[in-house]
Amino acid sequence: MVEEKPKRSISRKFHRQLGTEVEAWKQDGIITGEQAGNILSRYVVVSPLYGRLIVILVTLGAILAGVGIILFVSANWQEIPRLGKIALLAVLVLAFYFLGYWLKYERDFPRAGTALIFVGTMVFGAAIFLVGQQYHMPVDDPRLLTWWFVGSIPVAYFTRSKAVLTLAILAVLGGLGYKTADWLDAVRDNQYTFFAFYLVLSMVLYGIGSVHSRFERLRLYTPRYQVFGLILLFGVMFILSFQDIYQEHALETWDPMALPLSFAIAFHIAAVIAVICAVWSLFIDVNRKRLSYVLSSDLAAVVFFVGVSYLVLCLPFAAPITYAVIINIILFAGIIGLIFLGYFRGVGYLVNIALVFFGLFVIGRYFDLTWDLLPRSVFFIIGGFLLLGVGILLERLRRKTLRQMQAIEVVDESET
Amino acid sequence: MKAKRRLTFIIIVLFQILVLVGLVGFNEATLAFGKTVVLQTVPVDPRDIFRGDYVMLRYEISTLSNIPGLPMVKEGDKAYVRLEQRDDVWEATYVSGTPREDWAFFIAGDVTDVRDNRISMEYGIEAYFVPEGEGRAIERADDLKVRVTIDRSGKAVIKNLIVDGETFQLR
Repeated sequence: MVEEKPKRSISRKFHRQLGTEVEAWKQDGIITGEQAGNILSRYVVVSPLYGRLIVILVTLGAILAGVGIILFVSANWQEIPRLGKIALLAVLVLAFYFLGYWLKYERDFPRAGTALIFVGTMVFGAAIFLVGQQYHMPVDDPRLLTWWFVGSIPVAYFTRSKAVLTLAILAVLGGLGYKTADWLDAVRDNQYTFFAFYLVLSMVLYGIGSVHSRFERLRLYTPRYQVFGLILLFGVMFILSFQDIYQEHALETWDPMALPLSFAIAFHIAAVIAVICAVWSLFIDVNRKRLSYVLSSDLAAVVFFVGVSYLVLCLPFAAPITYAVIINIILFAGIIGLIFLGYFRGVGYLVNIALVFFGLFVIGRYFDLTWDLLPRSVFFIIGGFLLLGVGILLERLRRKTLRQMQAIEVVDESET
Repeated sequence: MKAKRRLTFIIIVLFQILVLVGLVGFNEATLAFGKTVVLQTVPVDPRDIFRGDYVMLRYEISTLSNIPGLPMVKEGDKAYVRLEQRDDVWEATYVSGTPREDWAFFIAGDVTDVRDNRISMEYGIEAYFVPEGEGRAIERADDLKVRVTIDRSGKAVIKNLIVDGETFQLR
């Protein structure tokens, strides 16, 4: 007699796969017909769309309410005394958080609760900007976004909310962008410095994601860090892959030593953090005796792209075409490398990011009219044959890869 | 377990409130304990001055030339500017990478540009937020001065505006 327990909810796809597997186990005599029935009766199919719908409705509702209250506060900004305003904003932040907490942890409405906490984080950001405005702090003051980040990141980890983490990452990237703009007022017309800094930041994000992936409890955050890191990395590389960018710039007179000291220090610190994260990940693998080429590729990738960011920062060559060729080769190799990485790890989003940038890359090069020095046709032919070769290689590995992917997929779905 | 979780969450949320209170506190402290001076603004490109709900401000002290210390500061650096009263407004009389001990009073800012013995500075007081629609009156003013409170570290916060001799005060 099976004890009556609450049923576990699973997706329709997993239920179907489970049905096929259970049937196969029964056929092979691993389990009896009764056991097969018992296994299947443990689960109930829940449409993932239903859960999403709740999140969307609650989030939209909370945003409407939040925006309404903030509009009310700012519309009556003049009427409310200065300290009254801050009190009102604080109460608003507290209300969203505590209502969210109560629903999520004490009343078992996890989705609604998480959505309210997410809106609480947004209201916190709005409050920071309203206070900043109160004292006429410029909107592009990097401190405002930085405080938003510092305040939100504990919430992201406490509530295990990927949405809050996304907000926090965007805030810190924005804050660093404003700060970099301040630093680089001094080096007018040199957008490379900006790009180089974001390249190194992309590796910081990727490295942090890499470390997260090594811990069971933190693994859920890995995709956010790595997706942001990779989009930043390939986005910047894509912009730098156009030859025009280099032509307006006086490469031969560029002196990286003229950069503000504080910027240079920030750059080196970011580079060191990225490398430390990657080394740490590898160290964990070594300790657990789980070292593999696939896992250790993170360190290689981080070190390599940190190197690329220094190349972009220092601009050691005088000829624009040198950069265009180097960056394009790196970008192309990076995209292909990411496809491999995605397949070997069985991580779909890595492959998707690579495919998007592959499309952009091909379109970019196709319409790149200044790309005369290196004949485009040669470029496409070489690239094409390379990919064909890769395809054939993949075909050979297909069965093995497929088996691994499926195994991982089933595990993935049972986790969510 | 439950109590510990609650406590952790309360601490996290209170930290956010602390951030807000801190932001208010630092600015209020400057306003309360700082010294208030009047700075003369200079006209900004009229297409740029009024942007939505704030007025962009440029000051006489935003551009420095012909004062001691000028060749010593570099682009991207932090710099301190000695202020001295001439008639009713305060003017820059010295610029340096560190505040000098014999200075009575100074403002801190960032050097944004160095060109031909002339430097541009930003002090974090280049925007003034106004209720929607009220920016036009400021834009049309013939003479615009700003009352700024500056604390002992040189940090400045705008107190109010003086539009054609009349104080324009937001609450």
